[in-house]
Amino acid sequence: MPIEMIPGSNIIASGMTAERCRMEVVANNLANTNSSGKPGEAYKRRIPVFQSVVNDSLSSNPASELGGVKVTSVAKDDTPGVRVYSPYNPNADGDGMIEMPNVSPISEMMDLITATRAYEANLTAMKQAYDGAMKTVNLGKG
Amino acid sequence: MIDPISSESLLAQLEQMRGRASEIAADSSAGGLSKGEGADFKNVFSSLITEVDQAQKQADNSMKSLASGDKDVTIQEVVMKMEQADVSFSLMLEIRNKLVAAYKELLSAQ
Repeated sequence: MPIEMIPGSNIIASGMTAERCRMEVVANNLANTNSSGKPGEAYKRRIPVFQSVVNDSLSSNPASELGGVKVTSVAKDDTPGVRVYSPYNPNADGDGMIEMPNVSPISEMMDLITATRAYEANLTAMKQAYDGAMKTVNLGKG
Repeated sequence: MIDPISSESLLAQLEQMRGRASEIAADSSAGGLSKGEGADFKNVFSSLITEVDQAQKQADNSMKSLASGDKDVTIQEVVMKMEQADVSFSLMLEIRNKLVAAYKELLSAQ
């Protein structure tokens, strides 16, 4: 393991990985806005579940037990979708009804903006940490 | 009034400083750093070089696997490793510059 020169670099990387995962989930939800199916079998919205990571640490630095974040699972949102009358759809049931996915493009766009901003926040933290480390190293140059 | 500088007083001061230096040296060898292999600056510096080299190689490897389409390597990890390598290389370079500057200072003292 090389010397850790940038404070919190692994934590920041884990945050960026998590936000990337959220963006992927949102993209998948948006792509499946129209994936209708038989009632009860339509696409269900996915939600990434984040969890903070705690390391076992033997170091004297109390912050070394902070391990960032990880995505534990991608859960399903089981809210029933809207039922639509579409008798010629091959997925229609006896009453001619199909179920639309429970994806709301508006809230997905909101999620996407939140994920993008959170990713950018991690980027800013990385830039600050990098600049700080660089300035410390170049302290002698004046 | 500043004391006039004579060679005798300078020598006396040097003697005094030498005495204090040897006291400090005795203190430090008793307390913290021992004059063994661990305290050898050459070893410390070469292990630093090894670590910097390792960081560079890690960054290089992860960049290669990202470029060859490894799904387990993410772009942010690669960038992070590259920056780690960059900063640790700068640190090594700065220490080396300080060493050379000190050496040149000593040379010009003659």
